[in-house]
Amino acid sequence: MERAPTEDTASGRKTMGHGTNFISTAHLSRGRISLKRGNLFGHTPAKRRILQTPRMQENADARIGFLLRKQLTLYSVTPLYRFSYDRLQEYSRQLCFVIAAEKQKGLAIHVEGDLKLKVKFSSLSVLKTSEKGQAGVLIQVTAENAGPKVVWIGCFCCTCGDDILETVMEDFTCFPLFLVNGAESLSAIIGTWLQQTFDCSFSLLTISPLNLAWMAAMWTGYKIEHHKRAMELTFSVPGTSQPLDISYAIHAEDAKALWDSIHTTQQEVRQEQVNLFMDGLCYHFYRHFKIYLSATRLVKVSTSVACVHSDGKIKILHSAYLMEILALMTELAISQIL
Amino acid sequence: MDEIVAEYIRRTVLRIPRSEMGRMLTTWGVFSENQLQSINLHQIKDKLSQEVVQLCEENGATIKHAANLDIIYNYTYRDKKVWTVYKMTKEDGDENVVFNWVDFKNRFKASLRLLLKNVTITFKKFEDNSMWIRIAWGTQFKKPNQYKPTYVVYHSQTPYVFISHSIFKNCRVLLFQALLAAANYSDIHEMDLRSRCLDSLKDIVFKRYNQNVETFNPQPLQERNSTLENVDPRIIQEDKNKKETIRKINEEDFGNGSLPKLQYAQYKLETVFKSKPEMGILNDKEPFRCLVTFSSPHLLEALKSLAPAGLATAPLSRLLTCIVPEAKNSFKITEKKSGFSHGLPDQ
Amino acid sequence: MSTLAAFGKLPTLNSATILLVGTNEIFQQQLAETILQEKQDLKINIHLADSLPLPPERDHIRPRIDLIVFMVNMQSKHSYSNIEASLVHVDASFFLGKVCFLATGAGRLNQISIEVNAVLKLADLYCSPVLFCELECEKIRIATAQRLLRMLRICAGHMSGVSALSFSSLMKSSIGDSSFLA
Repeated sequence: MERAPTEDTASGRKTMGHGTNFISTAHLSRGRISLKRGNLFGHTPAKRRILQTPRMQENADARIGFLLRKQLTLYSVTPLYRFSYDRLQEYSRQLCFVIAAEKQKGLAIHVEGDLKLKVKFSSLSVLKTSEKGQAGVLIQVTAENAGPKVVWIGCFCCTCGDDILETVMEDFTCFPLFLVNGAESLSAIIGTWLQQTFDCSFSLLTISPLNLAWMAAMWTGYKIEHHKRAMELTFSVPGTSQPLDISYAIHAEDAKALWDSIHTTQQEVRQEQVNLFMDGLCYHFYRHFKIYLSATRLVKVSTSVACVHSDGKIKILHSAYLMEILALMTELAISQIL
Repeated sequence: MDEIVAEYIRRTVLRIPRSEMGRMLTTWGVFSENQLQSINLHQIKDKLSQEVVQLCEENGATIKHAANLDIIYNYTYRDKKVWTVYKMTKEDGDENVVFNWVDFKNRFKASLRLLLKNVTITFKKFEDNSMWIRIAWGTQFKKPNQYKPTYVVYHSQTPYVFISHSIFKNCRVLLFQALLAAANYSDIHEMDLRSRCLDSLKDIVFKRYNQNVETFNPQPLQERNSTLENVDPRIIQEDKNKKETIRKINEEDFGNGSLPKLQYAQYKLETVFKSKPEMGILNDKEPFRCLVTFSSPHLLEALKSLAPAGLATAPLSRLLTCIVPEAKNSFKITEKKSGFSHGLPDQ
Repeated sequence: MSTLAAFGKLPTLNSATILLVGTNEIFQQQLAETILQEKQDLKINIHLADSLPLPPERDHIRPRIDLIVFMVNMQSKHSYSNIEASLVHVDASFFLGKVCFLATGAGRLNQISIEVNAVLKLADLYCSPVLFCELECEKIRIATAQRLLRMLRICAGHMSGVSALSFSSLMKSSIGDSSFLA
């Protein structure tokens, strides 16, 4: 079982070839990239291009289905030292031993019964967006004697993060974004192992109200045929005598009509448009309740395509815009590690 | 004793916190003084529950007794449930019949049993004059499910009924019929008022909560402001007057006593989207459909503090201040010719 | 529109007056108290307001204001627009070194609702320096209070050899540099 499907390893090897070629030609300093991107203080850019991602292959849905409709925790990760797509099997074996050892210690894992856990690293070429981009890496932990049932997944990706790939130094592989679903105890063990093995550092990817507003606006604009849900904004009100949350849910069609009346540029979304969208909604709210939503903190956005919480949790609901969502999350992860 | 009864008693006992155990078993009144003395309250809960079941076995306890213990438990922890308020109405010309609890109970049972054989009905009256009715529902072929009962709280000679727990639609119809028959009313409807705090709901519908406490308790202004005034004389509040005005307006809206406890208020907005003209967006005459929910462990206190904290203008919107006077926390707002209307009940 | 003038009144002997403008009352009060705890040889008056203009009925009893501090809560867009609206009510002469912006709460990156750039730009537009400060932290609060006091002494003319304008220009240029190093 520890053998990854041959097709996957093959594509992994190919990508790595690209990666190394590329890395050797570019040695850019971190300072330069942050200036180039105008990314001081982790700023959001003044505008974002609407991705023209190639539609995913036919069977892609089945291959990325594991990322859908699950609560995923987002982490940003510094570049991995001496990571190689050729050694995925070896990693699988090593991590499997580590988990088994931890389990024997009986400290960390409290999985029901005596589950036999298997680990599998595999390359995810579906997440490769461009010729020079790199494939993602999926780590799956499966309970063999219970199904088999997947009990934990972790997924490294670098979707549309091509410009950061240019700046990483030799021997480093950059996966700015890591998505996790599964038991905390397993996350802790695997996280520690990854950090030790690849000398990298994980940190929770929290999302500021500014970026949440971007997501609310951009995701509202996505065309969805089925399973439409209201666009819901959740605000946490600071400074009241008792905790107070305000949920503001707008019918999907009405929210889209509002966004379409603002978003007039085809190729990009601008900061002013996002501001206008939020200001318009806040004003409509104020007209009814006389409360300044602009004085409160946006903590959660849910739309038909995804829900995301400021504490770094995301649930992706629709495969159609998976790449766009991962690309945006990758961008935020990059701005957090720079 | 039936196995279902034994198991139900055992599980109910397990739910009771140790500190309350002695008191609740005493209130229950199934055991003699000697039996109560013999129960070791300090042993493991599991053992304790078995001991209680053992004693019940000796005393021949029935499902009635088991249900009674459940009511005692739920009465004490009534804030763990969500309560919905219903109001009953009489048709004009209906005569007022002298109310008595025996008739009430009999009519209630008769009405419910007429259509449903498999149902457990238990009544218990408490010191606060409330009658608790516990109904465990079954079907024609199934015994009543004791684990998902409906609780109804009723005060004699009031049109209000407090019901906890979602029940099947057809059961609800039966329940309403029984209530109307028992209390001698002709119609019942939901008031769109819900909370975990049963006592607060009672305060709201019985108007026990007084909004203008100020007239009875004129606290001198200086004293009330002392926290603000007591600072260094070198610190000067420029907008003291403005703050004082906000405080006064707020007091008019919310009073200065303690407020009833609600956990949420919900507004279904179907009003036209209007932005500032300079924004120039979405000029649609169609209603902009939103659902706004305010949630807090103590909603009214939170709302009251909005304007003083500079998070809202004073006076606060009528939509928020009318919750208590209108006894509603679920609204549907539509556009009317002048301003918003919230007279429509939420369907 | 009533504007606040920098030189409309005569200075009071051996005292200086600072005006704190901002929507967060608690932070304002805390900062004011911290300022007063510092030992001073002059009398410090602190005026607090949530927005400008100041109520005109108190004009006659208000001393000359030597320094205005606009407190922007980075976690509230409302606070920012409130300050933006208040700035209109300040006489141009104040911007010759007698205004300073205090951006609070920028440390929690996941909670900020205003771009740091936006505040820098606003300050730049009004030719005034910005201080960043986390008021919840007592040490930072004390340090900020000391900085503000020093500026206040200069603005009130109690520090010989430095003028408000030259000091503010000095601060602005140093802040401008450091922001590009960050």
